[in-house]
Amino acid sequence: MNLEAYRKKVQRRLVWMRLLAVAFIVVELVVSRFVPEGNATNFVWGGCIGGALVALVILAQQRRALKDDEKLRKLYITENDERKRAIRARAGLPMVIYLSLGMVMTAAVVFFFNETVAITLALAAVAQMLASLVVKLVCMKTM
Amino acid sequence: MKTRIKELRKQHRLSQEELADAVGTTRQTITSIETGKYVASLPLAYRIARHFGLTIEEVFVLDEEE
Repeated sequence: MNLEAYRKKVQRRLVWMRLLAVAFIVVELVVSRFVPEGNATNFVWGGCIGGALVALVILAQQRRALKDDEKLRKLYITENDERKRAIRARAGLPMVIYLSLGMVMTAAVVFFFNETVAITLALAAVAQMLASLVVKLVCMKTM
Repeated sequence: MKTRIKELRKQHRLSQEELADAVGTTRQTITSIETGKYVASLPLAYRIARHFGLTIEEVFVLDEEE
């Protein structure tokens, strides 16, 4: 276990999380200021607030781990545990998350042109994330 | 795959958490290996065996029916 290399990895992740949180807030501010209010702006607003909150929670969690070597070691073990990795792989992670995020972002753009297509995209993204979660839970019981 | 991990743990008075910590894995993984739900990878099997001062064959026994 190379804790110093992992510490640098977490530090890089923190920078990305900060950028992501700021990007979500900027997009939310731009949309709410310059785009007339409607279903599309509400969807983008909700998505941005949700995304920013997730980024901030991850940021807080990993910052706490950086301050304490023991917590950092636990985080490393949890992230690199081979059984958990096998479960994640069976549930299609992280690809399902990337795909779902891509679909939700596309839905946010499409919402300004066609609401039906956007809602279908968003629901498909939620459905595939739920399917992945179910597979993960089943694997956690059986593996 | 059958293992002697539980027996060896008892002999060495180790909890699952302590063994997991020593070999760099989680308690849940040790539980799954002990109950036969999960088969450890070669590096993890090696770390567990080395922790007890034994060889892999002395800790893990291949079930011929498998």
